[in-house]
Amino acid sequence: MKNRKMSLHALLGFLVLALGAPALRAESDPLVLLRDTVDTIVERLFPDGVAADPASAMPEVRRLVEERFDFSVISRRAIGRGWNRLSEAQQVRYTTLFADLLMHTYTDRLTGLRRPQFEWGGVQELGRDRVEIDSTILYEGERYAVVYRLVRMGGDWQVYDLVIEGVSLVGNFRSQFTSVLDRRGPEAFIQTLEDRVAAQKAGS
Amino acid sequence: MRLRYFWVLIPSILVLAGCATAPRNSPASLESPAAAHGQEARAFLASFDDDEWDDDFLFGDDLDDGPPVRDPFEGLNRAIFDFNGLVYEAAFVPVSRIYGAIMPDEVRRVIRNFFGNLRSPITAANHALQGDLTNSGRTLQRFALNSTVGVLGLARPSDNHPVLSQVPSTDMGETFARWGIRDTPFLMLPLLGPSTVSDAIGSFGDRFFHPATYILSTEENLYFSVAEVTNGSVELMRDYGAIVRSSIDPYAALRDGYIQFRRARLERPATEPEPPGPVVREPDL
Repeated sequence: MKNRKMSLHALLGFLVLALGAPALRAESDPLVLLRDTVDTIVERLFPDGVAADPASAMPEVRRLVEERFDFSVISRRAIGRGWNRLSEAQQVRYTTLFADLLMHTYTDRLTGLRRPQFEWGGVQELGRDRVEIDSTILYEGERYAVVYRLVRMGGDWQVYDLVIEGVSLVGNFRSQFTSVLDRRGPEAFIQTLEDRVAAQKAGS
Repeated sequence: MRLRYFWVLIPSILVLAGCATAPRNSPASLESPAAAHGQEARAFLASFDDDEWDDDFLFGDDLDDGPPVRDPFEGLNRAIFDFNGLVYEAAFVPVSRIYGAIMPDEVRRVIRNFFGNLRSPITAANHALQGDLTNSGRTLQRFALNSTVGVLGLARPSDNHPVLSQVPSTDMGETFARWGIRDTPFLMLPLLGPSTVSDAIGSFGDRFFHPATYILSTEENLYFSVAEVTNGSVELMRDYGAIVRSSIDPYAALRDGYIQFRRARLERPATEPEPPGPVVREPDL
């Protein structure tokens, strides 16, 4: 009986390899894709356990992030319906400034950090072509829940939001952008973004 | 401390999470924003006409954000936020720099453990008030272990026991919310930062479960709180600065972060199930 089961195992294993392999390629699994990206990024950012010099690590890290994070969706969702209140020129300006804002915010924050550890959780379907991937970051004895939200676009999985301990990155930006748009209008909104990015560049 | 100020850690976690730079499909080279006005940016914008950019996908989260944040005191709250910023710059930032230079990270962590451990009775009492006796009991076990084997809470031997180390923290503001008192108006407290009416009343009530309230005199309690805040000030000021530098409306960013964080805690199941033991069995065919 046991031998028969083992034969079945072997046969099934062979069938999976022979017939199922194309469908089981790593590229189709959002968890594998995300984990590989994050592992590689963290390896570049913290090569010896401590933060690398941002100037030397960033070019490659940026390339890696660009593969997996969909900025077009992130920037568009970050402004929500406010998008329609901007003129075409303002929309172009906004998308560029938002990219600058994100980059400057997170490149000067590495100093003094140590390499975190990751635990990966399950994948939940959010709907057609959208999933949520749970993870935990262990850092200095504390555990932080980080949820990655991914969408499949053009056959590839892309991150479009991060939810950190319940706080959505995109939602947080949207609350700021809506607040400034409502109180001061589109022109002042763009100007405030420009001032903030200029101040970041001056400070770095 | 971790609870109240968690939102300011978010920039650090973002870096740790791997979102360390501007992501893909940027309309132009980030080194030359002026180029964004070119052809590439227009092609990028045109992509929004695709069918897959439907409203549900782009704005679905707008609809799921829950009830709007109540901020009837926004004018006053913003004034207090500005005042806090001045005090942070004038007093907290210099103190945190000096303290951070004197105290090695490891020492600060040990001191943080000490203060955190003393808050365990608050967590245990509130789990009990929420009807979660399992987590209340686990918190007390952790308190007992860390206070004895961990030498007054300086070390955290409980970290070696997942059942104990993963007990969620809680407080009276959360207890009120689980009793149905939720979505009270947002408040920006002088020096202490973001809160809500029910969370602020809850923090006052939580003092009655803190051992220091009964062991120390009123004056000593003040020094105790100053010491706790000073020890956490290095991370707090670093992250406060990051929030201000990265936001076009830091007040709105803090308000949203605080409210999202507090709401998410209420969605957590009251008690985490016991982690399953290893299961060794041959699969049936």
